[in-house]
Amino acid sequence: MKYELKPLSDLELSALLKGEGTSRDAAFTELYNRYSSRVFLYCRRILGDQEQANDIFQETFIRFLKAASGEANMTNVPAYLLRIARNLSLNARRNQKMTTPIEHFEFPVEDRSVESAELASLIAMALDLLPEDQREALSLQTYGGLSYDEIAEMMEVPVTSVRNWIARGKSRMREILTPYLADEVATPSRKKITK
Amino acid sequence: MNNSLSHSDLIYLFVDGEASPAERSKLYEALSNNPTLQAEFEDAMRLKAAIEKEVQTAVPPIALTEELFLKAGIAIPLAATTAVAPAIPAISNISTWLPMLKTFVIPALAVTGIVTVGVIKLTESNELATPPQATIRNVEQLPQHQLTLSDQATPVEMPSATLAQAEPTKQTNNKDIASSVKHNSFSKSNTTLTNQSSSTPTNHSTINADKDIAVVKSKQLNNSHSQNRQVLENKEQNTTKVSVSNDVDATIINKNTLALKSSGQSPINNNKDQATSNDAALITKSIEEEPMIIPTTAVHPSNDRTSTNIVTSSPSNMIRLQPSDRISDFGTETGSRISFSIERTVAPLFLQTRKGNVPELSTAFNNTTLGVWYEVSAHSEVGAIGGQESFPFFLVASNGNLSPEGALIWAGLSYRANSSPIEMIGGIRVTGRAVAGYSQIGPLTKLSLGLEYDPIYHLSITAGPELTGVIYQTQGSTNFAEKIAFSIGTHFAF
Repeated sequence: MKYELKPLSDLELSALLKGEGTSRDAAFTELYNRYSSRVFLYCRRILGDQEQANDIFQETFIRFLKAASGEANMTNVPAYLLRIARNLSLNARRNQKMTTPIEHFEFPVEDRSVESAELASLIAMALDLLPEDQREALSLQTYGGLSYDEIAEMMEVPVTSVRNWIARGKSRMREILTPYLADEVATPSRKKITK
Repeated sequence: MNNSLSHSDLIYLFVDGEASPAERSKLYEALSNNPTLQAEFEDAMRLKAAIEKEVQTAVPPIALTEELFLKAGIAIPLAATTAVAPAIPAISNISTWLPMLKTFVIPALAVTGIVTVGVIKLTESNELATPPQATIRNVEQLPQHQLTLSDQATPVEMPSATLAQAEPTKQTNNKDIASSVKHNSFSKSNTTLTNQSSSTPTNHSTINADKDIAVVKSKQLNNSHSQNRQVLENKEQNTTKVSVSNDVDATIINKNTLALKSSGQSPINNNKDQATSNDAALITKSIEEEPMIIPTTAVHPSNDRTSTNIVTSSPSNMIRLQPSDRISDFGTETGSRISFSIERTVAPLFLQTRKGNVPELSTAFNNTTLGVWYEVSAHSEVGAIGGQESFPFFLVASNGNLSPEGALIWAGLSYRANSSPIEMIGGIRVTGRAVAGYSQIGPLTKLSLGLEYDPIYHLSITAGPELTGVIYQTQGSTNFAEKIAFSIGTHFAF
């Protein structure tokens, strides 16, 4: 027997998180289904280190579950999740900068098909070549699914700044990825891109 | 509004749906006469599609998800659907599952078999220590002149005792009386003790024995029908004893030699296990072993599948012992019956930590098992069973989403063994069962050990704990999930 929680809104699901037992677990599972990929990708793109990104990813959802149990209303679940992930990632990046040179970053390839893995790797490398503000705004917009206004609020900057960062960041990514976008990463070989 | 955005920048705002109406108009105008901008627009669309594709295909690793759920207190086994990893392999690909069979199923079946056989042997040995009592109703109908015994300790003559084979040719093929030291398994040797009616001119009793020993012991037979008792006992020896005596007397009949020894008479050879009316009986003091006392009160073991059954036929005073047969109110049956079972599982206890995740299923069929059984012997049955039971797990869809499921649907083959009735606990039997089957997430095995009681011939009730284990795969890795539950079932036999 399945739990039909798909029709429920994020607000309804977050309300179920305040309960206990089966309904709470099922609601958490449904929210996890909806947003785990975005949070996972965001962590991977913001943090280069795969292991560190996994830790941040898990910590994000655990903190989310704890917070949702006591929070009155959680109107924007993905924004809430990404806010947690962003704060954790920024803290991790600050520590990372002190210890790990960026050229040692490994861009993980998930367990997917070669084509998808290649694409993900290329996008990750292109993102890494962007300035930090552009990369973060772009990650929040593409992987987090947030609007420009939400990103501006989260980053505590004017919307115009977000518009500029995203537009120029994507333009820059297009320039980097144009050879691959022509046939949607038909070439499996990885080209070395340096800053 | 940021007026510093170029046409190229406007393309991305437009693709993201963030461009204002004025910006869209401006972009449309620029695109209409600028091929370079048009190419850039197409690239922007491709980039957007590529990123969306990445988002859609990106799935957190299952191990990461499981670890996260454990940390969050939600530890439910994850089973992959065929879209992610083939949880239900092709039958031809048996080599993939062979190691798992060796690892889980075969040892489980072996342990269950050993335990069951041990229990059966144990109960059998207990029964030997305390042999069951049975009644021959018609002993009191034995003519006095046929069994005239004295209280003397020395062998006495039985001048009127008749130990004869009424129809020798038939008796060879119709050995109707059987008893065995092993009460439940003496089908090889059946003997007949027939006490012909006293109205016949030549009264005689017929005792056949193949190779077992039947000790028929009668207490207080001296002109007292009401106190008659017969004791039947078999031994796996090559001699046959027939003892009709008081406490100290016995008649011994060898298998091939009926030695009827009376005063001054020599034993008379009887190569066909026969005794005639002219023979004298050898009556000796023979209390070598404690005889099996057969009380005069009737015992009709109608619900006893395995214990020695004694049927008396009043008109012919025929005593039939067929221990391996089942006696019902409708007659004697010879095994190999079909039965149907229905079981309910209650109080599931999941060994893995899945707190709060046992779903409350309201369907009537949940936690129900149905089965069809064939009795291959008095102690064992094979069957085909299946059912649905609470077993929370998540299915991983092709897009990585987790789909909570509340119950397993399974089917499989089963072997069931039970012991002989244990008299000291009211004839209840110990029963063990092993199941090898398949569920929607992978191979399933069940082991149970319980008690079985037969209130009537056609119905038995079983109860006991049951261990259920499921092997499942999550993206290539093989896992095992299990639970313990208490099962109550009934078998309807025909």
